Amino acid sequence: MSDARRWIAGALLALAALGSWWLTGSVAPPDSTADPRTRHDPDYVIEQFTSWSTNERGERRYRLEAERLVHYPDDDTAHLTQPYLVQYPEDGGPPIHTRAREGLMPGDGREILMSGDVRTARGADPESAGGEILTDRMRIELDR
Amino acid sequence: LKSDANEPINIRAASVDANEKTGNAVYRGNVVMTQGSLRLEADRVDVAMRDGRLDRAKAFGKPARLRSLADTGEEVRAHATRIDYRARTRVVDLEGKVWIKRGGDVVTGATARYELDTQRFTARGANDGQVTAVIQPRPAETPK
Repeated sequence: MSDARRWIAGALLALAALGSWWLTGSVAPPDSTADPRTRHDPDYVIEQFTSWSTNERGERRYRLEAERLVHYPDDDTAHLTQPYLVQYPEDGGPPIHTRAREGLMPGDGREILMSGDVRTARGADPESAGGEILTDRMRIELDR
Repeated sequence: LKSDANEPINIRAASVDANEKTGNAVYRGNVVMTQGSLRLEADRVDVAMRDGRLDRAKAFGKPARLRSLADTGEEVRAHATRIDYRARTRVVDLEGKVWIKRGGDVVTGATARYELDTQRFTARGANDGQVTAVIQPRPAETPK
């Protein structure tokens, strides 16, 4: 076989080897031993979640309930299903009730992002007739 | 109506940013706020509460729109780029392309202040420019 042909055959073989090496690299299954902290996997789930927050005098400030809470360690967020927040104003006014389809709470718990059919209702009292708020998204900065 | 202040406040908006500590909230996106006969429509409304009652509502829009009924039963409508409603004194400050219609009377100018209960308003043109007012003649009383 002439030299030229031998060279061409060799080049083609090398190309084929290179191609298969690239192919195996790109379709290889993800490395299951990857660091769990970098993956967005939950570390705990709480069904029928309820939590209370009080101020320094032990007076209740708010109550947060949800059908389900899922916590993610990588970004320290908590995802809530059907969250229900009751806020107890410091001035002793009527509680403020907020419901939504979904809720998201960052790790520091300073705020809660409610989304989907958000409905806030505040009862009447001698000072005010209360009222209602309807929205798609509500960010509530909690007085921690 | 004077009784508006004792009515529930209902607000609809696309999104809400609420601060529990200050009681203030910013409503954005097709905001409609009603309290009795008072109706405020705007792109954005900044609401300040005090002691659980509405203290102030600043509406921004292109234009923002306000409608209210005077105790005489006459309807008042107003448009402006910015409408600043002080709930306790029932005074409305309007700024930017102001248009006010009360019954058959129409006033336009750069800024205006409208006292909902006394129905008194003062309007000012830009840089002492023009205020236009179309005051409908009161129907002549038929002599007895």
